[in-house]
Amino acid sequence: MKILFRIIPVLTFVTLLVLAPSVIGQSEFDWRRYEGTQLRGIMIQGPWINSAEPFIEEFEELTGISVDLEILPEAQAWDKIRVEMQANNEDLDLFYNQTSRFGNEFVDNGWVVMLNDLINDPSLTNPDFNWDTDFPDVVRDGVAFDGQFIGIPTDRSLGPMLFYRKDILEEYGVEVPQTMEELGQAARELWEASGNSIPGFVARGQGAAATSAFSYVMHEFGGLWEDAEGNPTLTSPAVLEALEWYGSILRESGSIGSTAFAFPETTNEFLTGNAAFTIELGVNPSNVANPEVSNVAGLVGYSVIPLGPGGEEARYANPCPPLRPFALSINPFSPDQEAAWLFIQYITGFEPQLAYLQSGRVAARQSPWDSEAFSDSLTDDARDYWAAQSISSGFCPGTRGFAPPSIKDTGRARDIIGQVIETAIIGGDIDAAAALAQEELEMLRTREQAGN
Amino acid sequence: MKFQRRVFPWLMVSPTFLVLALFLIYPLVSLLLMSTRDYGSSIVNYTDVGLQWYRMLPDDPRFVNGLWRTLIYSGGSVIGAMLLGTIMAFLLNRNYPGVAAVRTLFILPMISMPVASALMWGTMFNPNQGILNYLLESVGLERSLWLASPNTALASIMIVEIWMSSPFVMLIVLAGLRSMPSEPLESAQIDGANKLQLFLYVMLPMLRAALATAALFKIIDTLKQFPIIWVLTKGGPLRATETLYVYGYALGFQFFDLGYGAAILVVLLLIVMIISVFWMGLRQRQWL
Repeated sequence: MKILFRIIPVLTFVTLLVLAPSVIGQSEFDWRRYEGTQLRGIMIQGPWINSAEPFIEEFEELTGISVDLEILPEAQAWDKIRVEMQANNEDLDLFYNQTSRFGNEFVDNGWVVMLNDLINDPSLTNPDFNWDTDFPDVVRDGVAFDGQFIGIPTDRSLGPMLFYRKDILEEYGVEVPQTMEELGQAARELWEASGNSIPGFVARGQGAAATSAFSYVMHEFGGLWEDAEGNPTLTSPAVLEALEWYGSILRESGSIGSTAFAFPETTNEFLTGNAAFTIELGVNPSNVANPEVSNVAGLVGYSVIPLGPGGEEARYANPCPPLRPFALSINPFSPDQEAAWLFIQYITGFEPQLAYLQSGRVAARQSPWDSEAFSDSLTDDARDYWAAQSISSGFCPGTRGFAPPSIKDTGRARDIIGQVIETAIIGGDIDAAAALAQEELEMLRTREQAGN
Repeated sequence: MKFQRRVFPWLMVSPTFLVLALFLIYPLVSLLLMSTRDYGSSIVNYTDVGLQWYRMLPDDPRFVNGLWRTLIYSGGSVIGAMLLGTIMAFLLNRNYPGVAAVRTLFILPMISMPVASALMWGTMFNPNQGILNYLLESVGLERSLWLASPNTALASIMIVEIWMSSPFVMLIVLAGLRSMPSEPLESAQIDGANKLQLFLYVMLPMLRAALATAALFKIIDTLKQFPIIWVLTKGGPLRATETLYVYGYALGFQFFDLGYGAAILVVLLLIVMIISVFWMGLRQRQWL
């Protein structure tokens, strides 16, 4: 008994000693060490910043750091970020990074801070950040370039989906399409049956912006951006077949005007009730239910993208190449990189990520997914959406991204491919346009390899 | 006294000279220098390439097509705006109740923001929901694709340009009409001239200066039009609306070929200058 009395205090002391660092670490993490600093960032208009904005004020109160974010439309934001990088601007501290598009280019040009040192510095990284345990491997791999992390992801990329109007399909007795062929047929039927008043299918058709939506279709047809050696494969039979399908469905089901449609126009077209089907990932249960932007609340059905001629095989590659997500990155020319790092940690924390998830997007962090707050907040609509999304986000085609990954100048590559997509929609000579684009992509790649 | 005569005048003009140097000469010299450089990932580190970009221009189909498109766009828009503006000026050069209000309404397109106007027209051009196709169908005509077809996109944007530009022409012509002496008109009428003759042989020659000035301004404006085109089509579909300005912008700010983009804009600047000098020469020789 005496021994027990002696052991208990010792055990208690040892336990306290073991637990102390983590407890002290949590309570003592110094959020206010950069009090008075002013941060400036460039963000992209869209669901992420919409859900993150309310947390910025909380961060400012917690840290005493003031944050000024310029929120711009996608294309304008990319242009501005790149101009400021090229000018080595010290005034910009952080930015929203589409790593699939700019990862290679930014790494190559030294336009992004590698975050490994910051993540591994316990004095600068909140112990609750849990980079190794709360961000799944697939997410961390997505922002890793040669083992260096170029940003903290806000997203896991959405898998390809089909959105359809339940009321229209019911009215005209059309089943939810399971294959690409059925989708094409249904879209044309609806356009005709409605007396050319309801476009059957709407999707992006405006040049470079269209390559993302087209890539989902291309993969279903078994097409890839490039072969194993990194040579572009725009003239492969599968890609040509996908181009023909994509162009003709838009042209023949009432959406030929989509050559002017990028992300906002396509989303708006579907949400305002002007199409029966879309594959535009800007649509989600949150904006469908929002009466300020949607006329179709309660009328939208969710499904995985219909299966194409490429079959199940085209959907899964092994090993799966990394999927590059949206992420928050730090400008290497900024003098306030550590303060920017505090902001990034906070804004990718549990609460902001939960809010993002609840807005219908695929949050990068795992803990919000496992939380009761998330499961309790799901509407029936949202459950349908997530059921389909959980399947399609597991798809893994052989090359990912919205242009051949081996080409660093993704912007120019997308512009070149966009011309072929527009040709397909307008009903022009796809073979000739694809051959020309193939040649241009090869030249671009050769130039890049030569270092020009 | 000597100081006053020699230095004082220079002091008086120096603010103007400073403003000119800051906002005109500096950017111009920067642009010229930029067009002789190849920028990599940084505008701080570049290599001088001399006139390499200029030598590449004739072999670049996007440049050649863009040049023709710019000239067609400018020519068509200016002719349209001159005709419409002149007709509007004649219609509003009368006194009837509410004419002042009508004049104000007519100049609204000129004072509205180009981006806002372009967005409004973009909605109207929508092939499915746009009011323009609704109007076409209501009079039994086929729907048009407007901005969605490479065959009609440039013409569609020219409609917007004419809509925005004609009030400016109207204002200048109206001012010309208002300041026109009545004697030549009266004597022509006494000599038996009909309305058409009066317009062609008396009024039009007297309006020559006003028309030439309005046309020059509009030529310059339309050659370097950017916001309307960018908002409506971004140069598409299939680059059917890609003018030199749009191509220069895309090169500079989307593909980061700052040097080549600058060379294209220098060429555009030269075209604008040559046309302006030529036009003013014609005016001086009284051919316009």
